[in-house]
Amino acid sequence: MLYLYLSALTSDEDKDMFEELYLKYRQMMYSLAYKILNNSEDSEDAVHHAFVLIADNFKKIKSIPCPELKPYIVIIVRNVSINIYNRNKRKAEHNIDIENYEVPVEIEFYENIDYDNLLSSINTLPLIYREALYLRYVRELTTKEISEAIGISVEGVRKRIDRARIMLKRALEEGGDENE
Amino acid sequence: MNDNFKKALTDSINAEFNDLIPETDSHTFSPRFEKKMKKLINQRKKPYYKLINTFGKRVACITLTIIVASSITVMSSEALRTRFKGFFIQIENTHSTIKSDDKANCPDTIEEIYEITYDLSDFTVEFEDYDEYDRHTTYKKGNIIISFYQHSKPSYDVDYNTEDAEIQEIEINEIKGLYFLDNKNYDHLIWDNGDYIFNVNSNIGKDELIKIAESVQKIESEQ
Amino acid sequence: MLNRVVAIMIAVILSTAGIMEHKVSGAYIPPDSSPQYLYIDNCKSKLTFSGDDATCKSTIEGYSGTTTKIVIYQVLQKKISSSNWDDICSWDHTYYSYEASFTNYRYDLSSGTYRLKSQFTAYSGNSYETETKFSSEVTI
Repeated sequence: MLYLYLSALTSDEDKDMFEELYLKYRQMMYSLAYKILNNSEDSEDAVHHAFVLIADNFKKIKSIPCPELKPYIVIIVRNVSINIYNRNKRKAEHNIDIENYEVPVEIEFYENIDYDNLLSSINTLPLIYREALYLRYVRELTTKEISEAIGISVEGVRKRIDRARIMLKRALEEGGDENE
Repeated sequence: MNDNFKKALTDSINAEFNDLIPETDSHTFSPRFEKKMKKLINQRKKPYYKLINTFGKRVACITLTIIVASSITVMSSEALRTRFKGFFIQIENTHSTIKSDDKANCPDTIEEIYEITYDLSDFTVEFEDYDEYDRHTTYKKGNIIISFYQHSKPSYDVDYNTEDAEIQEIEINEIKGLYFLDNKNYDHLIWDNGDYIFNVNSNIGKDELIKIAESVQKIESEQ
Repeated sequence: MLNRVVAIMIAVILSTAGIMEHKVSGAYIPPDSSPQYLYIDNCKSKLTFSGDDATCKSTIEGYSGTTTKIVIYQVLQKKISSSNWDDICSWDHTYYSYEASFTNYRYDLSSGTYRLKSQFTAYSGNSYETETKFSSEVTI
């Protein structure tokens, strides 16, 4: 099959919507990037790169209901900025101490836990882990879609979600103990 | 799917991001950024323009690709693939690709350094190239060149000049390996000691080269 | 609408040409000659990843006294479909010697399958030959 690199935004409607998103969110995205990168050139690069990812996955963006668009865009630019930050500093991703590797718990485990307990445990997780769980379980993206949305490898996405689930399990266990 | 869990995740994320209001102190974007974004938006508005722009280049690529593709087609129909003494060999008209056929239980990277222990004190080291997967040293004395390689097995994938050459079996310290003489009068020896693939190439003469190969020993551990 | 028609026409013309490579603009194009291995003893094309960061290494050994110059041209490629590859980036360098090793890096690559195309042009005076070697494919 012949591959022709045509734009991901093929209709005029798409292009107008893209430009609208750009004008609406660029300031917010720049501020978020700047908080992480502290440097205007890198922050502008982050915003540009985030929009490239948005354009490449525009079909997904269109499927998100309007009020839920903001968190999604925030997550993209934050993760792009963190990638740039890590590349600049060559720092390893936040490593949690996994003494004996535990099989991450399936979400069905959370069936019987009340909302307040869940929320407070989730809030103990660093934001990038919460974002990964959000993209996976609320936005229901596949690992591959998440990797395309925020620009990290599929293996990176898997590891991040695994770690998030382990941390959440621990937080829930500790939260349960405190209540007794 | 647990609704409580989804709701808790959503509420947690929204709480973080919903209070992000449009910043009052706006950033003035640089001309470079504005130009890049304009290109991103506008290019996507005019795919026709982009195609025409690159048409000339694409025609040039295709012409070159046809020439290369047709020569590759001719060659691959004559390629011979074989497994021989733990090596995977693909023989073509002018060269052969040799890879390791036995990659179980061997280091992925160089963990122990091996070197020629045969006396090369009157040779100078002309070239050195070391990384975590391969080590290569070239020794020179007058017109004599000795080229030594230690390869980690999983990444061993080399094309050799075997035009008019015949690859034969040979023994290096009772290990079965490969030997061939190329059309420039360089002898080549390739063998696998279980952990690594070694290769010595030289115009010093076959008998001498075998002695050099048999002198290859572990010197030290990387760690 | 007209855009689409033209796009389809161009697609038809191009599809009759067979494999299509998406070339990086301004790229170095090695001189074309059928490989003969007159000036090359051995060569290697290696692509390795550490997370999303690629290391691209091309090495070549020619013949001392015969090979006078080597040009290495590397192209990092990403798989688009079973027979089509996209050029991500390229590098080239000239060595006035009979042996050479060329290493380059590319960071934060998106997931997919990649390979490194190494083109070696080995000169003996004004005569030359060009040899291409692909690394094995790596999926991240």
